[in-house]
Amino acid sequence: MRLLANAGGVTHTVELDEGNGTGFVRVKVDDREYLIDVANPAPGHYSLLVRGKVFSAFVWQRRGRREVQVGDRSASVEVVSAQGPRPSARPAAAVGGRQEITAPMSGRVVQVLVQPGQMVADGESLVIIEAMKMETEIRAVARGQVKDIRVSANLAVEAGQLLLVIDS
Amino acid sequence: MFGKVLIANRGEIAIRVMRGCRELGISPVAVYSEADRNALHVQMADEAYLIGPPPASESYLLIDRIIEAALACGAEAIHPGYGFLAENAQFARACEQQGLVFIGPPSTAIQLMGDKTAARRAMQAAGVPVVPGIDRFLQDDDEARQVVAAMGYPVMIKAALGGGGRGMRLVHQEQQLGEALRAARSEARSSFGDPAIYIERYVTNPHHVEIQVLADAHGQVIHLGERECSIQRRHQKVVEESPSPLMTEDLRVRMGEAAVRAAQAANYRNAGTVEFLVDEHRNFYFLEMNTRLQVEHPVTEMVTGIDLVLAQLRIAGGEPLGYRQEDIRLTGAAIECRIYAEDPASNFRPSPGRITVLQAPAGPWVRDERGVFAGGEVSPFYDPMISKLVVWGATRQEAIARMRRALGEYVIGGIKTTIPFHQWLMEDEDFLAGRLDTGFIERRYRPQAAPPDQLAQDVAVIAAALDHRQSTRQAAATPVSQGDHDALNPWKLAGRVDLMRRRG
Repeated sequence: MRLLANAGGVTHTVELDEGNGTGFVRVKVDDREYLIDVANPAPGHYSLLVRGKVFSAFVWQRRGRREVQVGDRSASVEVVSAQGPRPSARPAAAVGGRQEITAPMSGRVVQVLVQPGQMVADGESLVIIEAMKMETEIRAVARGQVKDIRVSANLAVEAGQLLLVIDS
Repeated sequence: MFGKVLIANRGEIAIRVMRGCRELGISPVAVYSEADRNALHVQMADEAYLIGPPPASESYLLIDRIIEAALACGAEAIHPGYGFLAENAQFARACEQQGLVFIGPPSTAIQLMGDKTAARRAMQAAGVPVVPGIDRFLQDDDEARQVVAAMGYPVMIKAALGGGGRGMRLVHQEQQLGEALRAARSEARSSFGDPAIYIERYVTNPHHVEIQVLADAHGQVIHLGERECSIQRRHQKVVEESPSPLMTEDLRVRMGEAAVRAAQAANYRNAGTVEFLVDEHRNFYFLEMNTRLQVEHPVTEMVTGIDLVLAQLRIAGGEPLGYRQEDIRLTGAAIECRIYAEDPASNFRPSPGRITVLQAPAGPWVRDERGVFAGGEVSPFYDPMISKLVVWGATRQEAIARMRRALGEYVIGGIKTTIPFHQWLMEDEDFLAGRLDTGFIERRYRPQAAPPDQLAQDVAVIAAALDHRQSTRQAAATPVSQGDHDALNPWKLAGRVDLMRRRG
C-alpha cells in the first residue's frame, strides 16, 4: 500500500508491505527502509518494535488529520492514498489576501469588537469567545478590512466555525 | 458520622469527596447538569439528581435546586467541593437554615473572607501583614485612576468576590488601565455575579505560598505547613508543591502562626487555606483566605499523612481533630501537576472536546485524580482542569524524577492538554533549583518542538499510515447494503435496529 503523509509541512511517501502474517511489516518512508514488528493492542494504539527498540504510538483523528503521540513527541499527520489528491498543506491563515477567522475552540461569543467595513491592524482583537470560564480574544493575523461577520454576541460556536472574513 | 452526603460539584473534586465519603461508610449523592449525564461523578455516586441545563448559572450555582435535592434524598450534609458554591456565604447560610450541615466553615467566616476588602481590614486588626492597597470597592474608572495614580504602577486589579484567578488583571501602565478594568469587571460579573473590584499594589516576582489550616468545633486550630504555588498562568495555579523550596523552619513557624491567627480572627472552622505573597527578602503578606478545600490539597496530604477530606467530614460531624500542632511533621516532598484541557503551545488556550485515548500513569507514590475517561467529552461549559497528577518522593529531586516518569506514562488523546508544559517544567533549570515566582511561566516558558530525530519522526508517520490502513480495512469490511434475505434474519434485524437506535 502506497500512501502520502503530510507532517509538519513536509509530504512523505510511505509504502507499507505486509509480511506473511508474522506481524512484521516492511515500511519505506521516502528512501528509508524499516522492518517493523507491529502489534495493535487496542484501537488507536500501535506498538512498534524497530530493531528491538519499543515505540508505543497512540493515534486519533482530529479535523481530518491523524494526531500521533509517541512517547513525549506528538505529530499531526494527514494521510491519503497515493492515488488520490495530494494532501493539503496546513490551512493557511491568509489565502490570497483573505483571512478567514475561525473559532479555535467551541464556546460562546461574548462580544464582536469590529464592524463590517472597518479597517483592522495586525494583531487587533476581533471577537471574544468564552470557553471553560475563560475569555479568549481572537485577533487578526494581518491588517485588512472586515468583510463579513458571521456571528454575534451570545451565539454558541463550534471549533473551526467561521467567525468573520477580512480582506487584506 | 453522616449516613448520606450530597456533593454539590462535578468533575475530579466530586469524585475525590466521594472517595472520602465511602471510606467513612457515607453514601455519596451526586447532582448534575444536562451536560453531565455521562460524567464520571454521576457514574460513581450512589444516587444522582438532575439540577438543570448546562450553564453553571442554571445548574451547579442554583442554591435552591441543590438544597431541594439534598432534602428530598435525605442527605444530612452537603460538601461543596471547590469553585461553584464553595465560597458562597448565602449557600452556607441556606444549608444552616434548612438543618443541613455545610461541610466547610460557618457562613459568617465565608462572608468575612469573601469580602476581600473586609478580610484585609480584619487581618490588619489581627496583626497579620497585608499587601498595600485600598480596602474598599471601586465605583468607577475615574476613582480607579486616582487610586492607582497615588499608589504607583504596577497594580493588580481584583474581583471583590474573586478567586481562582478570574477577574484579575495586572496593569503596568496607565494606557492599559481602561481595558483591564473592563475585562476584570466583565469576568467578575460572569464568574461571581458581581462586577465589584478593588486594587492592590503588585508585589513584583513574589512567591505564592499558602498555609493549610484545620479548625475543629472544639476550639482547636492547627496548620499543616505550606504549599508553594508560584507556577501560575493567568493568575491560576498550574503546579504546586510542599514543602516550598524557599521555606525555612523559622519562616514556617511564623507563617503558620499568622495563618492560625487569621483563622481564629474569622472564627473559622473546618479546612481552610491562608494565602500569602512572599517577597525575595522572605517578607510575607496576607493575600486572601480560601474558605474551602483547595485543588492542591493532595500535596499536603502526601507530606503530612493527613487525609483532608476525611478531616473535613469528621470536623463537620463534630469530632475533635485528635492531633495537635506538635504532632504535625512534613515528610519528604510532594508535587502536583494540574492537567488542563488547554493547549500550552497556543498560550494555554482552552481545548474542550472528546477524549479518544487515555492511558493513565500509575506505580509507586503516584496519584492521578481524574474526572474524565476515554470516550468522554470535556465540556466547554466548565473548568478546564481534567486531572491532578500528584507524586511523592523522599526528596524534592526524587519527586521531580518521579513526576517526569509519571508524565511520560500519561497519554490523553483527542484534546490538547498541559502535559507537554509539565514535561518542559520538570527539566527547567530554574524550576529544578527552586527559583520560582508568579511570573515564571511568562518569563521562561517558550513552547518548543522536540529536537529533530529522524527515527522518532518516521515512527509517527508510520503509525499514522498504519492507522489509516486499519480504518480503510474496517470500512471495506462493513457491508454497505444487504440483500433481501438478510432482512428475514431476526437476529441481524434486531442488531440493526439496535445499532440505529444507538446512532440516533
